Amino acid sequence: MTQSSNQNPFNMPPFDPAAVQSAWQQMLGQFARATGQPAPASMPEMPAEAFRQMQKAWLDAMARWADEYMRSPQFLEQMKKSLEGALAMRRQVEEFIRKATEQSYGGSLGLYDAVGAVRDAESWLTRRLDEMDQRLVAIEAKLDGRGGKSASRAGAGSRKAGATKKSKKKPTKRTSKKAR
Amino acid sequence: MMLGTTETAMQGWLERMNMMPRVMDYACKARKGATEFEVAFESGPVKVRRYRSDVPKQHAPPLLCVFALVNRPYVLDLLPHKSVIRQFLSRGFDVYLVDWGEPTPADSDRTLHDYIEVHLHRIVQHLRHSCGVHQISLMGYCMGGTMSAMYTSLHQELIRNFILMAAPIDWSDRSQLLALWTDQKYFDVDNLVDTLGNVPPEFLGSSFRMLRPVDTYINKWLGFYERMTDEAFLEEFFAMETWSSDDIPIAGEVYRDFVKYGLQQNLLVQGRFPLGEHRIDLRRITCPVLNLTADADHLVPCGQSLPFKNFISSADYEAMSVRAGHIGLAVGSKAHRELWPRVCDWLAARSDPV
Repeated sequence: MTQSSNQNPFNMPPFDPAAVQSAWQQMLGQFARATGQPAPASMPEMPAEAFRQMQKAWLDAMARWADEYMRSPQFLEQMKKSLEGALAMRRQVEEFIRKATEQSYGGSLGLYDAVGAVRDAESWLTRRLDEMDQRLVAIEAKLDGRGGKSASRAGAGSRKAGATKKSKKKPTKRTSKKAR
Repeated sequence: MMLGTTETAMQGWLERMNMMPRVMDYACKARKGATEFEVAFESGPVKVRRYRSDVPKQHAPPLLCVFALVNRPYVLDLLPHKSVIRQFLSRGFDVYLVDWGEPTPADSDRTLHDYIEVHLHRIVQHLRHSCGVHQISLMGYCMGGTMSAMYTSLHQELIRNFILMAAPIDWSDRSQLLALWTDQKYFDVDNLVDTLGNVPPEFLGSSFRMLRPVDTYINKWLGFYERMTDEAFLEEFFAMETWSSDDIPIAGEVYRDFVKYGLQQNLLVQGRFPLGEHRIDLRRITCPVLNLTADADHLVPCGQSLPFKNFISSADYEAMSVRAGHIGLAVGSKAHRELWPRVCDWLAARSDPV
């Protein structure tokens, strides 16, 4: 099995880049014509390099301030309280849902939980059995490959092949049962 | 150019706006991994990828790469020209990568012991048998490095060479921001795990991003605006964005073990980190070790990785460093130009020719 993932991470519909490019350029052209007047003479101009340095100094200062703030006991205490509050809220919501469900189902929620747990266990066991089946098939295939000559000499080849076939059928059976 | 005159700024803006359809195109085309692979082994959610290469195999022990549990592993194979996997393939190594998969709510009670002693051990045994070798080479990145170090200490006889890549080992320095945030005084990991089960990716992702908020939320986008007319940059930018937003949850019990015994109590370097019935003793590591660090790593500073040397028994130990950040170690141009060819040399010198 050869794989190479190439999924669309933003879930966007496929589009024609050439068509979009053309429409986009048309729109930008109109925009440029509408706003393409020279800048007013009174507007202060700043050299690009000076602007860049000023921007960098400002952002560096902001980064230092953020780092210092996030180390302060006030921030750490606030972070602790926020997290505790969020977790408490989550527990309350879960408790509310549990109680509401319990009331709706007339106190038989425990039974539903038990059925759910059994179903979880069943699907886990089925998964494990499938895995074991696959491993068994792989082992049998390897054994057939290795002992092919001697097995056919002994006349056991057909029996082994039959066993492999049988075990290959098992997962299908279980899968269909699970699907039902 | 950000701003020269109002006219040039407007022209620059129009140029960039003109690129928008191409930007969208690159955003849609971003791939998750560059190199073809086959699934060599599968156990539950865990898959092991074997990468394909036209270069004939030249070195006998296969190389198994282990990534952290908190992100997807394809950052090691992000783009054709920024792929650690391809660096090794081009030198004739047989390369495997562990994909831990995404834990479901039912997996919240999976512990570090399950991942290391069950899954990783099964993978190593499978590789040994399928490749017909007694030992393999192991490389662990970030948390995957810590887990690999634990595995190597328990099964030293199965590991020929060990490469540690920006892996936290010693959390004794409490000055780092992440160490402060996870301090027992301010962070109740039991409360978090007991309430949430698996730790959601939004929680982990936002914690990591908030370590450098100005870089993450301002500088990155200013840089994007400056360079968005460069198509090569767009390809790299969206590959990286795709990977960094492709977070996965971490099994609750694993998070509890890692934070409590690692970040909070620093038990690994004290030989007291509990893993099932074992206590991890790094002194049992005797194989050749290469420790890779990134000078500008804000997530796992060098001070957390480099002390590894003091806790192992290997006579053959080497450390290499590059000017890069935590992820730059895997995807940075400088790392690919200067570091990875040397890493391949190191590993080749300690492997058998086929």
